[in-house]
Amino acid sequence: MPGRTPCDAVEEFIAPLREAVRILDGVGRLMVSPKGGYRKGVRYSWVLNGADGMDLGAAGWFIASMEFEVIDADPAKNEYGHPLRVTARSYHYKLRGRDGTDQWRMHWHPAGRSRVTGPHLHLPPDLKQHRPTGRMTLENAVGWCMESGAAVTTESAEKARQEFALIEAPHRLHRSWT
Amino acid sequence: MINRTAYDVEVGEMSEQDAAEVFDGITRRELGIDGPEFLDRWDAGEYQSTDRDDLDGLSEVVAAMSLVR
Repeated sequence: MPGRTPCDAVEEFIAPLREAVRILDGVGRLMVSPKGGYRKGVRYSWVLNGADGMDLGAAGWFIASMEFEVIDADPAKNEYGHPLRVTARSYHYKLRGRDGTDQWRMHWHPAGRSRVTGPHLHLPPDLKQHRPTGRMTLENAVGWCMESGAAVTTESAEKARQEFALIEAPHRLHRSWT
Repeated sequence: MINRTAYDVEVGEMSEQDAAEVFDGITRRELGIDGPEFLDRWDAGEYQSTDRDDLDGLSEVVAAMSLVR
C-alpha cells in the first residue's frame, strides 16, 4: 500500500507481513535494518527473528528475510493519492527441519552474479536444482509452513487460507507484478 | 483444535549492534564463518566469480549485507 512519507510507506508495507506471521503459532519479530530513518533509494532489509528464525516446534524453523526499497508510486493509482510505496528487491524464505535439513527454499535475488535471476524454488532431494516460480510473498511462504505441518493460530487451516487471501488483497491491487 | 498464540508479532528497527550480531549469526549459520571474516573475504574479491547459487547460503548472506552496509 502506498504512503504519504517514506515512513508511512514502510509501515503500510510491514503491516500485512506482520499479520501473515501472526497466523503461525510461535514468537515472531520482524527486525528491520538500521539506516537512520527511511528514505527513497536506500536498500533496507527485514529479518524474521534475526539469525535464528521462527521456532515452529516439530515443523522446524521458518527462516525469512527480504530486501526492500521505497520507490515512487503513481498517485493516480491509489485512492489517497500517496506518492510513495515499497517494493521488494530480493527475498529468501525457507523451512529448516528439526534435523537441520532444509525442507524447501524460496529464493529471488535478481541482482548480483547468478545464472538464475528469476524467482525460484529449491526442493529436496536436490536442493541445487532451480524450479522457476512466480514471485512468492511472505504470505505464500507462511502458507507453505502451514502445509508443512506448522501449527496456526486460526481455527482451522481453511480459515488460515482465507486470512492469507484477505491479507494479500490490498497488496495485489498495488504491486507492479502479477 | 484452536492454537492461540500468546504472543503478538513485534516489529522493530535494529540498533547497529543488533544488526551486526544478526549478520554475524547469518554468516555463521549459512557459511560457517563470522560476519567480519565474510566481509573481509568479500572485499578481497574472494566471492567475485562465485555464482550465488553454487555456494549454499551465499545468496542469503549477500542479501543480508544491507544490515551492515
